[in-house]
Amino acid sequence: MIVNDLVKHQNPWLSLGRETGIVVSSRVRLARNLKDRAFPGWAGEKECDRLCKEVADACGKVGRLSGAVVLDMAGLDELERELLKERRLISSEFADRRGGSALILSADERIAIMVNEEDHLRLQAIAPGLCLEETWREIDAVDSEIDRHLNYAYSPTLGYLTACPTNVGTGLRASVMVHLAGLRLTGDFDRVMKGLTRLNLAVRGLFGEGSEAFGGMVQVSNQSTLGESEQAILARLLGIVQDLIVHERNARARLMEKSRIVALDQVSRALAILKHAMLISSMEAVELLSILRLGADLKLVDGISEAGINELLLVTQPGHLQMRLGRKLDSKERDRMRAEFVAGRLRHVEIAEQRG
Amino acid sequence: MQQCQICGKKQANVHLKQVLDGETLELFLCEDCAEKGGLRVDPGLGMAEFVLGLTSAKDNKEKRRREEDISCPSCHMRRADFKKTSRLGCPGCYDAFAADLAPMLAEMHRGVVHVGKSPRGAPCREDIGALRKALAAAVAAQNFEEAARLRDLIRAATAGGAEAGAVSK
Ligand SMILES: [Zn+2]
Ligand SMILES: [Zn+2]
Repeated sequence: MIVNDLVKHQNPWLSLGRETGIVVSSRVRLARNLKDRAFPGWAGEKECDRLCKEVADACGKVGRLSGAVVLDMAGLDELERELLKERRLISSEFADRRGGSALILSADERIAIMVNEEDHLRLQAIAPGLCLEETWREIDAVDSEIDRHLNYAYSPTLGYLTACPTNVGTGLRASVMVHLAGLRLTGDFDRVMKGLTRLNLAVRGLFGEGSEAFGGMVQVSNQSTLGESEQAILARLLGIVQDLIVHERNARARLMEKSRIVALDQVSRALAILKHAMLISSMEAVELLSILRLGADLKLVDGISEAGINELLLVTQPGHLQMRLGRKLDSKERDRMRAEFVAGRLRHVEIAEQRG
Repeated sequence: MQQCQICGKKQANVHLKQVLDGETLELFLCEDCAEKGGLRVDPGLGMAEFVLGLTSAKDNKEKRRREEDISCPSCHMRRADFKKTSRLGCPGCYDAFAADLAPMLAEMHRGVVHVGKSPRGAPCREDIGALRKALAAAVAAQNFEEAARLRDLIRAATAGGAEAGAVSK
């Protein structure tokens, strides 16, 4: 099974690429619908099936998608859905979809197209680090190629027409995942978050809509999709993310200057628990790995890179953990396996500096 | 004191202002005429629709759109369905529920007119911009015949996906 194979791969958007220490990944998503066709939420199942086939056929003609897999959502079990969700290749809403929807996934996992989510097509490009421009160009090209084979619903006044009016216009949602662990330790996190919502940005936790900002992992995205060009939307978001990076960098510098011992204490405690605890919940894993990730950036720990920690953040999630073991586990078993797995990976990781 | 520009009799206490491609179009109306027209905000067409709604009988249908029981002619979604889920049924719903959508869109987004990418073969924005300017001028000059013709041209050009055609369900 193809989904099963994913668990053996390093997730490309978490593991490689430009390491900024603060920006984990960038994602650009486009919402598209077909002309004169009911949106998925209002269409019958037969119509959804038919549309799925049309979109899959069209995508089959797109060069960038050669070698892509088409996954019928009806054919996926619970674990496989969970895995795709944790890899941020599908939304929570889509994970609950059954018949009449499909995921088209490029071989390198950078391009994912959800067919019949809330819209007929949700095209996303995702990549590690801060690369909004690059992911936009990538998805823009795929979109233009698909456009040659399908008729999109579009109005010159309102742009691309979407099932929810919050996406109409460009249909563009650009998101950047940032790791604001320093601001959390200095106590400035909430203030910065408040500022972001005032800027009319959507702010979410690591696992999408409704999830909390565990470990200071925050996803920032644009809300407005109408009245501004794609370039303008991306430039605004980029500006804000660059500001966030400066804030976080300053917080990390302040920590090292004024409260080095506090930072060291936090990182040491996180590492000690991760290495020796018998049970670790997924929430706790995110919190502790987040602090360890900060420690790696501040050169307080030896033996693991940030990319390595990024990967641990992913593979300790319930779907990945169970997929690796090849069976469903209850939550107690999961916490046990997670603790064991993390301890194994961090066996040779040590605090770099002498206490002082 | 400003007189109503439609009936020319009563005092104008409704002031309509619309900016189209940088040109400001203004109308002063009495409350009765404003109500009769049913203020519909539709970028590019709003004021012309309004004026033409008052001056041409065939547009009386437009007014009925405001009533509670309107539904999308393409996908048969009712206004109540849309209100309940906040999701539209098909691309044609953007026309059917334009009156409800206009204030929502203005609230949600930074602008009310699309700027950016367009699909292959979509009508060129510049052409439509020119038509809109001509429409604004025709309305200002109270040349309603010409305005109606221009409005239909704009409608035809902007229909893409939002036509009242049959929608497969
Ligand atoms: Zn009057
Ligand atoms: Zn409809």
